[in-house]
Order: sequence, then C-alpha cells, then structure tokens
Amino acid sequence: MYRYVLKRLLMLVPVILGVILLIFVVMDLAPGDPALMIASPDATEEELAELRTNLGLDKGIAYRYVAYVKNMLHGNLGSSYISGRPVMDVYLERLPETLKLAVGAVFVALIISIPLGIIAAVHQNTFKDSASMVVALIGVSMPSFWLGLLLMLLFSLKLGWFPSGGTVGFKSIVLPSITMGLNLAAVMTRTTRSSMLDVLHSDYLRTARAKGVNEKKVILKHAFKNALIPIITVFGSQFSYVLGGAVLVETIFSYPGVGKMVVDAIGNRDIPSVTGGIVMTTIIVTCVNLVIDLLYAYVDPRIKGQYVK
Amino acid sequence: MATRERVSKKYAKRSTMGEIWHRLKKNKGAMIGLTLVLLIIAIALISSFAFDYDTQVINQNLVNRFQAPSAEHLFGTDDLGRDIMARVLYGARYSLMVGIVAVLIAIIIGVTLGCIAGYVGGPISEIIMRITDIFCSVPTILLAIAIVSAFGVSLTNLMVAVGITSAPQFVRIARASIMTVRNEEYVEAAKAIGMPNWKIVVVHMLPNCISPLIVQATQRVASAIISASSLSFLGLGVPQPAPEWGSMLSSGRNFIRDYSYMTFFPGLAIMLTVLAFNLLGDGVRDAIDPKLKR
Repeated sequence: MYRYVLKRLLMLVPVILGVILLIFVVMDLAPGDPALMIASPDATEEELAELRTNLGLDKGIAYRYVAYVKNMLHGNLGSSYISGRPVMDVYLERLPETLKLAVGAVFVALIISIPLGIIAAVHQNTFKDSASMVVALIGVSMPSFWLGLLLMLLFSLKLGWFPSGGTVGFKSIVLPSITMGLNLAAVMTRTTRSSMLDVLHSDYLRTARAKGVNEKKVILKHAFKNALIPIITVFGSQFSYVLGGAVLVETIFSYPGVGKMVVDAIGNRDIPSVTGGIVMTTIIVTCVNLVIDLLYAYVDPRIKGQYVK
Repeated sequence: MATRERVSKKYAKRSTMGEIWHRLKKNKGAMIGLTLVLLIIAIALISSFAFDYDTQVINQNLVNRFQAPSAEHLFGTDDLGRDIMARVLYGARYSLMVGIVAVLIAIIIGVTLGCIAGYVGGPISEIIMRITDIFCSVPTILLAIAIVSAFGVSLTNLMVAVGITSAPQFVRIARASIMTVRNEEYVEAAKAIGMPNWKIVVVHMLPNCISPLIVQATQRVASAIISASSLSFLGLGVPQPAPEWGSMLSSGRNFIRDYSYMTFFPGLAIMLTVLAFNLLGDGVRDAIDPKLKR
C-alpha cells in the first residue's frame, strides 16, 4: 500500500509540471508589457529595460518556465503587479476562506444527495423517484451564479437572514456554501441513485434479507456501503468543479477567497496572480483526487487486496 | 448481389436509427427536451425578424429605464431602457451558437487526437493521453478563464476556450471507442487491401463506435452553454452590448435589490436551455444504450 501511495505521488510530479507549463504558456500569450504595468508612468526607456531584465522578460519562455518552477519549489510564485505582495502569501491568506466554502458545499451536498438518492433508488419508478430526479435535473441545469443571486435576493436582501457579501462570521459562508452545494447535490443525487440501483438487486442483499436482516440495515449497511465507490469517484471529480465554481460564487458574494483573487487579478491584468492562483488551485485539486483514489482502498477491500499484491 | 447487399445494408442502418428514434420517442423527458430545444432554435431564428437589433435590442432608451414587467414590456426594461424580452429572445442565438460551435471544436480536436491515440497506440498514445490528463487536471472554468484572458474577450475566443476545455473528454472517449474495434476483422481486411490509415479510421472504425461520442456531444452542449454564460458573467465572454444571457445577468446584478426581474429572466432562459439539452442528452444516451438507463 505504501509503495502504491509513493508511486501515485511520483506520478503527480509530471502532471503538476505539465499543468504549470500549460498555464505558464497560455498566460505568456497575454498581450501587454508587464514592465509598463509595474513601472511608474514617467519611467524612462532605460528603467523599463532594467525592469524587464529583473523580471526575466528578456529571456526565452523555456528559461522563465524553469525559473518559475525553481522559485515555486521555494514557495515563490512571484509578486503581484498591482500590490507588489508575494502571490503565495496572498493565496495562502485566502485559501482557508475558500476551503471553508468547499467544506460547507460538500456538507450541503452530502446531507441532500445521499438521502434523496437512496430514497429515489429504493422507490424506483414511483412518484418519489421521479420527483427526486426532476429536482436533481433542475439543480444540474441551474447555473450557480443565478442560483446564488436568487438566494441572495431572498435570504439576504428580502429576509435579511444572512449577509449579502464579505466574511462576517459563520453566517457569511452559509449562502455561498448552499449555492455551491446545491449544484453538487444535484449531480451526487443522480449518482447515488444510479449506484444504489446497481447493488439493490444483488445476490448478497437477497441473502441478507433471507437471513432476516431488517430492511433499513440491508439498505444502509449492506447496499449503501457497496454503492459508495462510484459515489466517491464522482465526488472526487466534482471537487474540481467546487474549487473552480468558487470563482463565480465568490464573485457574486464578494467573498475574499482564491476564486475572487483570480477574477480580480484578471481584471487588473495581474498575470503572476492569475498564473499562481490557477496553478495552486490545480495542484490542490490533483492532490484531493489522489486522496480520493486512496479512499477507494478503504471503502472496497477488493481494491485493497489488489494493492497488497 | 451487390444491389442486394446495398439494400440490406441500408435497411439495417435504417432499422438501427429507427430503433433509437423509437426508444427516444417513448422517453417523455427526452421529448420534452427535444421540443424545448426546437423551440429555442425557432426563437433564435425568428428573433432576428421579430426584433430590430439596432433599435430594439442594443439601442439605449433612458426614458424607459427600469420599467417593471407590463403588457408593453413583458419582462420589463433594463438600466438603459432596453426591452429585456427582446434581449433575452435575441440572446438565444448566442447561447445556442456558443454551445454548439464549442462542442464542434471539442469534437474536432478531441476525436482527432483520440483516434490517433487509439489507432496508433504506443508512445504517441501515451503522450496524447498524458497531455489530456494535464488538461483534465485544471478546473474547466479556470482553464477557460486563462485562455480568454490571454487571447482577449470576444465571441470567437469564448467558443475556442470552451471548446478546448471540453475536448479532453472527447479524446478519452474516442480513444477508448477506437480501441474496442481496433482488432476487428474488417480493420485487418482494410489494412490488407492497402487502405490508408486515416481512411480506415474515418470510414470503417468511427462509424462502428460513434454512439458514445454522440451521447457525449449531446450532453456536452448543456455544460458548454453554462461555461460560456459563466465566462460572460465574469466579463470574459461576449462583449457588451450584445444580449448574451450571462452578461445580462452580470449587469442586472448591480440592481438586484430593486429590479430583480433584470436577473430573473436571463437566468431562467439559461436554465431552460440547459435543462432542455440535459433532458435530450439523457434521452439520447438511454436510447442509444438502454443498458445505461438509470
């Protein structure tokens, strides 16, 4: 198992280097001269040239990429063109705020999707099933930025239950978390139902019932535990959407997380912040996916057996 | 003999398509989705005749600003006095165009690379798949943001960005599909008579494994529409004053407290369009492969 974990960690390295290269190349194509953005308006041509040399802009992209990776290994993602602050510092300041939203979104998604998916599967082809699936389909189809605005209008501007933006204690993460969580819940409900249907007619459940195990235990212990693998898989892939979706939700609620940092940086053409924000978020998503892969082994003893071999 | 073969082939093809259509027709959700999609296409086509773009869709009329929904302006008017209904209906073309063109771009890139990876195999396949892994690792919306912010805000760049971010799924599916038929006898036969590789893939292999790609394409249109409107919402999509739903929502957001209808109708339009494509996509998936129905 340790060897497998090590192997997976080593496999992460080329992917992360590739991601940095991809974002680095794409952002390098952005128009505009960074030296002009940083320098004072009355800077002379000599001063601009010196600034370009300091930033490494007079070197080729390959040189700058290698330098970027080297700096990144030392925790340096460059400095913001606007504030002059190290991008890594700003990112790490904002990351806990986004993680709070992500945890909140996952919580909302789980408490809605798991019961709804199980009920839909157990009552397949009944009104409960159809109603759950219609709700899930509407949830999948609803853009998060619209849902966020509707929630803000009702619960913040009309009822005044929650703040409409910023970070004012626990209340400020409720609406953004629900916005992100409802979309996730819709996807997870469909997956939970489908996954439960796959196992509900299995022989081992028939055996459990024949042995006199009560139906609640059959569903929750025997069926659900085996249905968890596809649910975890989809959950893993959706986590990427949660962190990506933070860009929109944080913008709507003026929430100072990493998503808003990237959006603000784009508005200011602050390339180091955009590159650093996207690269760091991608690394986190990749690591979370690895953890989820490893969770399979815990949930499914058959997979654990393969690792041991 | 040849005529008989042609006839039987034609009959067999019709029969498969007929069977899929028959299954699709029986699916109420798919039919609702199809009806909605056709309705939205009709709206997109008719709106250019029904409304004059310059005077009714983008022209400012400050005297009429912030009119609540009424018989004269069914969806009300926005902060610049423009009729929201005219803009929402006219905006259908942008969402449809971005959704469909982006998926076509994704198909062209994804299927080409996927076919090469699946057919050639070996190190070339490994390289293509590792690059695909890299693209898949970056959250879709962030990659699209990076592409649009690098190349500039325009309708074309929006479609390219959404297309590129959707392509990796097609690479994976096309590769897997091609690999399932790679060792079929008809492929060996085509190779034996000296047919060029590209022709073997395009003429013989792809038609035999195209179902998963059709399903993916139908379902992908919905997510492409959401991605595109998300980018427009962030100011990285179709530039103003074009009536794109995402950018309409974005500008309505500033007035949500007093004029919530400015955000309600464009949002509803996005949701209904995405819902329609999701319903149709699920229906097509179930009709093509009933084993997946759940």
